[in-house]
Amino acid sequence: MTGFAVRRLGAALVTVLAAVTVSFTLAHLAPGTPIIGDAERLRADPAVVARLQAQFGLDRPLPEQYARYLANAARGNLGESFVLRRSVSSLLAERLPNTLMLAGAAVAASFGLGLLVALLQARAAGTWLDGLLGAATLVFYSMPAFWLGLVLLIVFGQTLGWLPLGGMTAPGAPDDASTAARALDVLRHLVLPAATLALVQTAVVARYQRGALVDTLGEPYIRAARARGLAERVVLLRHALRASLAPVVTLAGMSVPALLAGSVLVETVFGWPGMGRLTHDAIQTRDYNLIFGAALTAGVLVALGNLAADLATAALDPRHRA
Amino acid sequence: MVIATPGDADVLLPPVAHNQTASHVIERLFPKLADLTLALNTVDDSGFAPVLAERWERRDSLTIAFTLEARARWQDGVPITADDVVFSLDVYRDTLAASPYAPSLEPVAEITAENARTAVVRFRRVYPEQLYDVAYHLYVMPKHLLDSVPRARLASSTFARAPVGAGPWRFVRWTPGAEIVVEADTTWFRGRPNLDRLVWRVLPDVSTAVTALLGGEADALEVVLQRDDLERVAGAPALRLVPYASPLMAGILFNVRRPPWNDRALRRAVAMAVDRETIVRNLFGPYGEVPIGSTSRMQWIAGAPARQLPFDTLAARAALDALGWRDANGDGVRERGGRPLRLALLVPTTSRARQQAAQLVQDQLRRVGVELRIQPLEFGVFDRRTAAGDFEAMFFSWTLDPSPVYLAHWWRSGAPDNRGGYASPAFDSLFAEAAAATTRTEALPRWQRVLEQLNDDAPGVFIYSPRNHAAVARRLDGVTIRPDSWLAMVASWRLAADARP
Amino acid sequence: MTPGAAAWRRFRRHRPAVLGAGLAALVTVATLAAPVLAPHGPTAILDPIALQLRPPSPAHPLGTDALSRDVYSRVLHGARVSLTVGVAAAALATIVAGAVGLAAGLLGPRTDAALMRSVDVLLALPRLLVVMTAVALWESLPLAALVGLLGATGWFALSRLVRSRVRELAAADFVTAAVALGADRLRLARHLLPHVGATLVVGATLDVGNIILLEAGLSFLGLGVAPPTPTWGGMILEGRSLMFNAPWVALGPGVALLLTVLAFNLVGDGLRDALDPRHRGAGLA
Repeated sequence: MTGFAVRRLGAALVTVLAAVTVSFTLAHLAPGTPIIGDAERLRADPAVVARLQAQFGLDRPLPEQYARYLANAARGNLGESFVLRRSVSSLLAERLPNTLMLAGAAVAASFGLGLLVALLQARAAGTWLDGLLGAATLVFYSMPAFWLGLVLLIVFGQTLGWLPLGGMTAPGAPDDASTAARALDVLRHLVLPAATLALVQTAVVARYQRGALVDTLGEPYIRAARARGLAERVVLLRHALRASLAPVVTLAGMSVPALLAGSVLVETVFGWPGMGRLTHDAIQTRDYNLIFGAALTAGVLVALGNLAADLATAALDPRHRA
Repeated sequence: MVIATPGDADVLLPPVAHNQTASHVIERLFPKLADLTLALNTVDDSGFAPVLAERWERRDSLTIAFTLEARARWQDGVPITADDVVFSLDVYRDTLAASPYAPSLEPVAEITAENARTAVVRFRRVYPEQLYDVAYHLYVMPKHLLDSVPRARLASSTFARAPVGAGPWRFVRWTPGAEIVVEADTTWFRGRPNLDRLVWRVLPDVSTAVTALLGGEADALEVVLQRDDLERVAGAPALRLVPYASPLMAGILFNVRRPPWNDRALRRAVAMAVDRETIVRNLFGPYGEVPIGSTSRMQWIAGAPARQLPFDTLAARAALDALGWRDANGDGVRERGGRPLRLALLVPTTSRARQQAAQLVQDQLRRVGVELRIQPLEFGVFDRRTAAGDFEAMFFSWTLDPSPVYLAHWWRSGAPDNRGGYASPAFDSLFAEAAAATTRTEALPRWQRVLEQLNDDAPGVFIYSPRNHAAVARRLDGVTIRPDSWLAMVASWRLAADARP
Repeated sequence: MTPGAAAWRRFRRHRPAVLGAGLAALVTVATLAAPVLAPHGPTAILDPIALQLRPPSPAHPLGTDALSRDVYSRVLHGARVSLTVGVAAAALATIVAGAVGLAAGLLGPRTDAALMRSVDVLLALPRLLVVMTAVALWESLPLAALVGLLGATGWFALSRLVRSRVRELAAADFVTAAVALGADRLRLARHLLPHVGATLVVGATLDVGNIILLEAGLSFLGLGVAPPTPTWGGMILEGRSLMFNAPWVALGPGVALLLTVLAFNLVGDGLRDALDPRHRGAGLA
């Protein structure tokens, strides 16, 4: 078990390194050197530019810059954002929890709902219900998430006015608002963006699981259980679900990259102050340190997701301890 | 009162802040020596109301002495002294701080603290707007809190994110990406504002800001620009539109250093091909106008009957023909000496109005055989490239200063913000003449000649000036807006009697 | 009956797949014939004042936008970008996936392990973010580069599928025989190709939908193909601020996107069921 865990940790590390390396390579291959915002404001006086470049170590050979970045990162120093004038780590620390909240809610909702839909489909395999649910999942699977978000925003935020029109909190909430009131406020703002992410993700899960569940329900031991007179509900919940748990967990771990990508679009549409929007802004403004920091965080998240999925799968099913 | 603002502030420190939101918040937190009144008279001493200074007296044609209020204190209790004023100028001028506002303070030679309460300002030359330059552009900052911060690190200091200032408002908190809150300072000696709190709610862009406003999540918005937004706000029962003269003027700026755009006749021909009126109607409906030149309705010179280039496609085509630009190969684009008549226009992605206008200009220029290539850039990149002169044409949008003297920043030879490289001795001398006039009657015809010089030389095409409307909730009363800075009089705004806070 | 004919019969009986094929054909026709079908040019500014933001009408079936351009014509032309990028990038990704999968399956355990480990790592990178970064940093990317980028980031999962298919096939007798007879790897690969073809075709078709959504996402974020070429994502971006007064500007391209991706997914599902009836993944009854 320890050997397995160690190897998985190694894989995680490689993932993180890959993320940083790719972003580093892209940033330095692209035309134009990493720009120091101040240089332009100093009207590009060459002496000052040279001094600033030396100060930030931008005149060293690339491999050295890379090594230095990694060494600093390991110590928790991710540099400073040129554009936002703050330390990258503080920016990430601020925005990451918001995205985790959003993604977490979406994952919980989508996996719950997705499994439910898949179960319903599997039980009713071949009937109109299966067809209807299948069509619905396919439609949501084919839908652009950002467009869905816009439509939801219009319908529920504008036309019906039930939910807020974006952001994470209502403006100017009084300082002495109770924690419960504040939590409720955030929750209200969370509904639409989480729903957008979740609807698409539900379709993914349902599509993935339907076939596996149909297979499981056809297995001899299920038929035996039914023959023994076990209630259908018990059969479904106890046996079928348990069998499908392992692949679902793997899917969950593997959906982290997709969720990160989805969060960029959804956070932009809803103005949710999370990592996705931060990454988008960083890329648009060529804020190199922030881009690297975001890539690093993304890498860590993905690695953690895979790691958790692997460990959970191994715990659930000893056959998978490869 | 909740203010919807598109875009978060960058830093809350006057010399190094670059964006609009930051400047609005800073204006509430940091004192000036004196401030403009609603009349926006930048020439007369009477156009100013004392803020930090109790009074001022002119010692000679180059010197003004300000006597500071004895009651003035920073919000941590420390009295404000002339040393703070001297220190502030020093910070603005420091190259390490790299303040973009330093050029505005260039005419100030030095400030000395004669004693704790007297700051003596000496100017480099004699001109009518001395008081304006030092009072309007210099924010006073606390020396005792900022002295120890290395100048190059000012923007990233903790102070810049949680400032201690002085004035009717006190900083409460800044949740980055979400909101900035200030509250009324009851200890300010000139009296407290009517409202208890101001909250700037940060939103990703203008349309979301309008949406928030309509949804009741905000009470005020500085500018509602697009026609459809204006109609929505006009139709909302809880809101009203407050018009004010716009400080904004936008158009295309040529980089006259780059051939063939150094050819005045060519620029004039292109300018004549632009149907400015249609662009304004398309963008703003009835809520905008074509500027008479490099100015906007907010400036008092905007009434001058300046001569402009007409919209005349026939004349434009004839001029282009005469210059030797003809479409030899029938592809719709003129060439000369094998080189096609192409113009690359940089447009920031943040401005929907500019992008839309650019496409209209593109269509119009195509009809006379000029190919306009639109290059959308993220705002920071746009700003950097244009500042470095790395462009052929840019779509600018300027927030003008109340004083027309500010024209020098863009058009005088060698001026720091003269991104297009326009250099005309004729303009420089006409400008100097106009700036030296001591009364408005004397100045108006001179400014008219300045505007006409610019229209004739066509270093740019001055396309639109929106008629600004602020959107304000009806529950707010006493809303007066000073055009150059819409919240300048916010201390006198109040809630209507029966509304809850 | 040949396996091909049997597959075709299964596909034909799968009604949703046929529907999808029909839709896909429609979109393809629209793409190819856009200049002819569209009543106006995609960038034609008709009348900036009088025809601005008109709701749908017989003259303009999907209305006009803020610049008085005909939305219907723009949607038709937008299909060109989406489809070109989608099909080309999917084709590229499929070729690479096939090559890598075959190599992993045939070139021995060490190559296999190396390639599959790399794929594992590459799968961890969020595709949108990588493409976004590249597109944003290289300010103006030509269409070919965008296609290349999308293709280069899309072969990972498919190569895994190909590889396991190859491994399956490799266990078959005729392959063992061929290897025993000293057949060279390249010849072997060519023989195996039709057998992995099914996997590749299904993978490619399903990927088209993903790529189209990705490209639309990029355009929505302001990246990707430069204006004035109309793209569906770009049109939704423009229509975003107009959603309240003129929802048709964003609805038209949105529905077009949905239908197109749906079409390709339907066909892909149908193909998968038809070509590999053992597979019991998602799908309709």
